[in-house]
Amino acid sequence: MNEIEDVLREEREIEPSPFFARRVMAMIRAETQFAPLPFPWKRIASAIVLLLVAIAAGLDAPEATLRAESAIAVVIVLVSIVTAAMTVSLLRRAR
Amino acid sequence: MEDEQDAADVARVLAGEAQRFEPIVARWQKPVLNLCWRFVRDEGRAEELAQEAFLKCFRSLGQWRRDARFSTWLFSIAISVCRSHLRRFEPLRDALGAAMLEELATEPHDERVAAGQRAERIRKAVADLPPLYREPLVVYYFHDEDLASTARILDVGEGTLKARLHRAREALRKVLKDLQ
Repeated sequence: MNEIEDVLREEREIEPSPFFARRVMAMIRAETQFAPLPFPWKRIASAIVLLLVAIAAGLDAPEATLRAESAIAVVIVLVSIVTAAMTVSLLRRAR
Repeated sequence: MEDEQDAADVARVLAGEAQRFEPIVARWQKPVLNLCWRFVRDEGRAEELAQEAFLKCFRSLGQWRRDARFSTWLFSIAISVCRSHLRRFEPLRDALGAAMLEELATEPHDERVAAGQRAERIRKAVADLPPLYREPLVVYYFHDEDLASTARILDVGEGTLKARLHRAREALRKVLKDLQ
């Protein structure tokens, strides 16, 4: 058993190549070149407010035409929110 | 001292100064490289794995909990990188290793050459141990037989580590006996 321990204790050491740190830093620079894309919370929040207003307007509308217009607005805002979220998510994945 | 420097550099990197990662690499490149080398025993491959470990470390720098030393955390990342690499290349390494062991066992040699070959056989036997026993053995001797540091790096209790080291040595003894 002593022989095994001796071999494990007496491992030779290797030296990093001269450009090791430079190569690591180049990889890191390449990675940080593209700053992480912030999620557009402000825009999404305003869209949600708009969505709630449209829903409320639709519910209060006395006429069927107005209710239909409000429903269309709701759909448009919803589609915008989903599209924005998908775009950000795809861009983040691409990076 | 190193701990303070690490903490200060990490804080600056997290504040947006990515270039402050360079002193961290400079300080730890040799230990990380040597740790990887003990797992893969190939200098080129060890360098690639050490680079990958630093990159992974940079990406997850925000996850370093200050209750552990930075080096402990960095070494555990390096071990995880080596573990993934070995898992991918284990079958190829096994085939090459078996051929090498056979060659070592049959070659005629003088005493000095025999000692060198025996050391090589021991290292090969260590590399062939299951990860559960190989990792404690490699890290324990890499860390100058410091049980507490090894336990922290591998994230196991000292009792568990002692048991694994004991079983690893037993397995080695058996393998080497069978080869004689």
